[in-house]
Amino acid sequence: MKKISKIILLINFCVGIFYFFKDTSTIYQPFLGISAKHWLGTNSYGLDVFSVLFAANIYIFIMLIFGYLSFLSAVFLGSMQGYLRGVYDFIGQRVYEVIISIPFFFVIILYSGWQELNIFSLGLILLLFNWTFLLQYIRIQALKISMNSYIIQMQDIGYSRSRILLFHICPNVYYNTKHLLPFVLILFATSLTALNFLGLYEVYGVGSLILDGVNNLDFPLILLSSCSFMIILLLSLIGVFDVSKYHD
Amino acid sequence: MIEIIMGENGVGKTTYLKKQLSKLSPKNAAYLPQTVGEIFNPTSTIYAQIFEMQFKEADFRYYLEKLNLLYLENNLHRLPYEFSAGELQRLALLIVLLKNAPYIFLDEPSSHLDTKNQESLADILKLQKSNITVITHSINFALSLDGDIKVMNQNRELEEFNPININRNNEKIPYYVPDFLTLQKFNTTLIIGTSGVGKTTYLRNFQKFLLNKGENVAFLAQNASLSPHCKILTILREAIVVRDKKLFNKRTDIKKIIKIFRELKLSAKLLKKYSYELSVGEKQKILLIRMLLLKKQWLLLDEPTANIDLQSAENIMAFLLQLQKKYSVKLTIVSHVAIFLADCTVNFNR
Repeated sequence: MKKISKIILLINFCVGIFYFFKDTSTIYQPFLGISAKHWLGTNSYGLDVFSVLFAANIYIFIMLIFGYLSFLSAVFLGSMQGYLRGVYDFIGQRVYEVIISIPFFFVIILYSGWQELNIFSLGLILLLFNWTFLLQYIRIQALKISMNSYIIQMQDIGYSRSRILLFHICPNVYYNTKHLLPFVLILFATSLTALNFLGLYEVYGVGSLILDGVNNLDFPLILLSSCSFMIILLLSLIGVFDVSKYHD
Repeated sequence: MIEIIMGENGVGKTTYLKKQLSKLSPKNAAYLPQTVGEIFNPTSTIYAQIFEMQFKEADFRYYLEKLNLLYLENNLHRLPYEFSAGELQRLALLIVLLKNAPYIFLDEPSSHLDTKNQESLADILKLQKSNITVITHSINFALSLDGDIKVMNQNRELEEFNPININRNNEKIPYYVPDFLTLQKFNTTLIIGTSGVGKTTYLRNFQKFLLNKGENVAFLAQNASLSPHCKILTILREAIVVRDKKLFNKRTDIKKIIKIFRELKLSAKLLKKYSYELSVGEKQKILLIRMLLLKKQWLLLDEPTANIDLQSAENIMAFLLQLQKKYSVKLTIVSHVAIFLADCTVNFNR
């Protein structure tokens, strides 16, 4: 499974880069079926569905990088809270409570009223509000790992706390929570698509194609192709970070 | 029937025991692993964990008395971390014996016990009707069991054992527990006493006392282990980086590590392994080497030779004493076996 999903993601990325630099805004006749020229037909505006899907794909990959960054920051901040405890934990928990009580959707609406949404500003807002997603779990993991005898031994022979945190707690926490990483990535990918679907984010992407498909249910090819594209992408993401190999 | 297996660290004694164990059904066999600290559930009391099983009330009283645990009978409602290592070892033995299985496998049951408890354990095992297989490093314990002693050689074959010239140290040492100011003056100190009297607490307090004075102290705990995600070479390299007070250093000298490995007669293959691939004795040696690389002035060792075979233990002790003369390191060691002559012997036994 792992190999297949890796290959799917790689092909996705390469084809996406090819179509990203190619001009996809040429307009054909709307509602065309499957043919040699249009592999997935055309939509109601007359755009080629296949090229639009793969060109929009690159934005999803950029969001995945933001998702990975948010996971890494959660690992670092969570293990800091779990290992150092005391003041760090107190301040971290209060910041966490403030952030989860702010609904991030309203923040995006407010921001889009002030300035136009950009892929990087969107990624940063999502990162700011979603690093708390796994924080509590990671914090408990760090607390559990810091009770282990090898950490106590390193404290006894005089290793500094920052060294133990960076080189011994963080890697162990990362490997223990890696199986939850695909859910963070999926959260980022789907929220981009959802915002696109709602029309808050003005680039023509997968979400806009789904909206187009919903509006034209008499011609189900658009909805089917865009939805199945998204499902295959998300499933392959889960497959790449499959950890069942280690439990055999 | 008692079968006793002895041999050097890393020969494959535990693997042999597990192979024997896998042939039997779990109902017929009882097994005591080496790391006793990990057997008990840390969040549930010892009492609850013992009474999960079914057994006769008379058996329970009998084994409690024989294992010298009667003084703990009213304290069984505590959590595992509140007991000392020797007490936990005997409680684990209690659970294994209460199962009344026809086959019993014990992996170093004598490792954290003092001589008095070792003798009483040997008495119980001799009276058992079931087949018992024991791994041990203590020759005294092996001889007191009166069973077939076999030695495992490097090719994983069992050989006959010939006891030649074994001296038993039965010198009587008087009760003596000094305060830390006097203890500080000695270069080498040995701490002995029955399990549960507070040797580890005494040593921990001594560590705090020295740290408050600003001394350069390193402490080796009883069930210490190594980082599971690092190879041995990275662990030892990190110690050199820490000694130089840096956060990163890509170029570190491995020569010193290899020199110490040669002096201790360890193979360089260990450097490429992960810590879970090593046996318990090898791990203990790596822990000691790391402490030597850090160049600490005071080494406080809590049973450094508990799970190491006698020859390697003497090797390590000789090396520590040699190091003490070279770099003027001060040693304080808790041990059940008086292997070396110390300037001062702290004895908790009255």
